[in-house]
Amino acid sequence: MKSAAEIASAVRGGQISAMQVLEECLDAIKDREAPLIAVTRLLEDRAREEAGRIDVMVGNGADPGPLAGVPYGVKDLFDLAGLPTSAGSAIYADAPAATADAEAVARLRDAGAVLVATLNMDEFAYGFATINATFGTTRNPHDPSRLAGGSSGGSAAIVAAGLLPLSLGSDTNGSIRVPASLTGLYGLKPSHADLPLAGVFPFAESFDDIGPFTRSVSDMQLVWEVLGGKTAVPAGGAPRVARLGGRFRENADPDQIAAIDAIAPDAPLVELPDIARARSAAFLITAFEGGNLHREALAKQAMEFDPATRDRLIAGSLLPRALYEEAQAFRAEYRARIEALVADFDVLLAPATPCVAPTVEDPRIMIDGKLSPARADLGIHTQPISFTGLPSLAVPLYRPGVLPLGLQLIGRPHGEADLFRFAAQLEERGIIGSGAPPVAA
Amino acid sequence: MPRAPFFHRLRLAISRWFTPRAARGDEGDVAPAPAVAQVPQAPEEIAEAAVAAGIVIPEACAPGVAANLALLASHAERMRGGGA
Repeated sequence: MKSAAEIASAVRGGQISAMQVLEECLDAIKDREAPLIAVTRLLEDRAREEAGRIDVMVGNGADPGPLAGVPYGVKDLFDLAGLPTSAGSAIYADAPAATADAEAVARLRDAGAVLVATLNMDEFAYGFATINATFGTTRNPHDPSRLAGGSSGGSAAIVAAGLLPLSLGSDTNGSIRVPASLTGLYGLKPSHADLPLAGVFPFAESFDDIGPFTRSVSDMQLVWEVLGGKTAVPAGGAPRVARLGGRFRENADPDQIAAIDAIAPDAPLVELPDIARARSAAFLITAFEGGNLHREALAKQAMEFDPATRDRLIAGSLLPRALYEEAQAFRAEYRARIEALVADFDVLLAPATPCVAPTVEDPRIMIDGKLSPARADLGIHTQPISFTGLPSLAVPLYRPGVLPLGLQLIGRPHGEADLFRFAAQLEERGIIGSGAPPVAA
Repeated sequence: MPRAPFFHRLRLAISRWFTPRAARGDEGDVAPAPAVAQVPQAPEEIAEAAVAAGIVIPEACAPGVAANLALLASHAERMRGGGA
């Protein structure tokens, strides 16, 4: 699979038609996707209509946009006109069809991209595993006996397998960065609410964001510019880098720590204060907002929820509002404190996940020396960053032949351009990179 | 809601009249301690919260809900600086 930029360039230049790109893509998905359990709906008719429109534009000499003919997929919580938005739940499988595309989908369509599929997720995005009672457990293309991570696991697996050059996911507490790390991709959680959320099924609105998965920094920047309607302009001068210490270094793979220290050996070690308190407050806010969002459905049809999310959502719906407000007050104070602390840096380095992908058979990971459920704790390093609202780009350490692992490049508010510039430098040095798609898929 | 009997309300009013204002907590220099919101954990607390939320907890979910509430209680304690 070529990069999104290469496909768009070839389609715009008339070297290949969007329809030809699409048909090759559909054939590959039909041939190789089934063992991954990444796709929930293949949208062949819609995709052919979009590809045909791009080819007509190219034929007429019109500009079809910077993503001309690029096939992509979306996590199954983006509204698509004419289809129900399931959010990964059987409860919404027969919901009324959306009347319009989500804003992000509309922007990609206007840029010439071709929507091919909706992709698997944890029900209502509540989990880091993509273990879904209705659609199945998404497998990691690098080792199908392992999880792809979640909750945007389908979006990650399909790109990591080389079946699509890009996809969209959502990230509330790490649901893009965790699967990106476990499948060896770039995954962006933007500055909070910077990319369009209209038409996206919510989970916990205080933290919900959308973002892309790609196999290169340049594709990531291209899609971010299309989604955000802006151009990435990094600050001048050498990037000011710091390494995050404390809990970020306590629960990490030695390879991640070695890479961080190799990338910036002289960078200061910064310890974010009260990181455990922040993560706990994030848990409480997420539980309260998620539980209350689904309260009505839980009252009517609790047993139709995925067992893996049902009890968590019911518990969240029983939390007292005063506790939620206390957590929000802590969050407001904490965000201000952290923004002041990191104001002198363009990039903070941290692990994205504490370990490589756990197995499907035993989805537990080691946290503080104890086995802990992956579904809840793979986001140990991403959740506190979501709490601050800062942008964070998950990047894959380049290590062919070994299970993938990622780092987070965390920026100042609206500092995505600096993250892209720094990531491009690391990619050029061969420290990070997706490498070739695994053959297993 | 049923009203308290007349004599009981009268006794409360008289008692309040003779209580120093600061100790009553409605003004003065001794503020009442703010109530700390707690996660429901005991079965009767969970049942009460479920009624307030309009949710009937299915029997099959009760152990899982209780376990999740216990986890959330530990997060509340940690958020407040406790060592949960």
